[in-house]
Amino acid sequence: MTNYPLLFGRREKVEGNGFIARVAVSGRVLLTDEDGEFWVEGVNPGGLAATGNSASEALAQFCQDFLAVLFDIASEAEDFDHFRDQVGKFFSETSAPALEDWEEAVRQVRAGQVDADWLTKKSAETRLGVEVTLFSQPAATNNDLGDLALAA
Amino acid sequence: MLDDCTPGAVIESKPHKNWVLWGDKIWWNLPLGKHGNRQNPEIEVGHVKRMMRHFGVLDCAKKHLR
Repeated sequence: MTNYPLLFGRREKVEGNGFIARVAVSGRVLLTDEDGEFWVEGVNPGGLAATGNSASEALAQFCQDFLAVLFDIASEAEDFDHFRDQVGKFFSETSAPALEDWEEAVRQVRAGQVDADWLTKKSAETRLGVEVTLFSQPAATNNDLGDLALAA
Repeated sequence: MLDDCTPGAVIESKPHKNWVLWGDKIWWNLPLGKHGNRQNPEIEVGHVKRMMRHFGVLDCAKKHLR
């Protein structure tokens, strides 16, 4: 079994009841290769996981599931402030066991024992956070594909 | 298993996923299963293991999972 500590960035637009929100996340996930079965476990946000037959498949499923959680939060948010608060709660709930494995995996990356040459490397100390803003001024410059990196 | 390992846990069905609430923790994406929103969807063991790990009760859950 191999663990890969990843830094996970997503920019999503979510429609709520009476508002449109932009959610920008800089978080952490743990990618695990369990003898060909791949899992992506959220660290920040914790509380969700996805699986696939390849790393790409598991990561794509995680991104979709992440968006599904945002949609579900929006479905019952009374207003934008409520949505923002719930998304903040979602992101801040760290998975302690996954974090422990993530930090150990960073140590292995730094020791040269784990590598993923299909990913760029980024400092494991990269600032984490979530920003939820009201979407009011559409502009093409706001489009963002998100990013993924190996924490080192 | 939830009654044994996470007494008081509540499952809330949402449009896309099930949320499992226990104390101050939430598992946000228990799958609804291949057949959509059923009362007792098939749940992959891997998802349940990771949920119980997140709740800090994996040792208890292993007694119920194979």
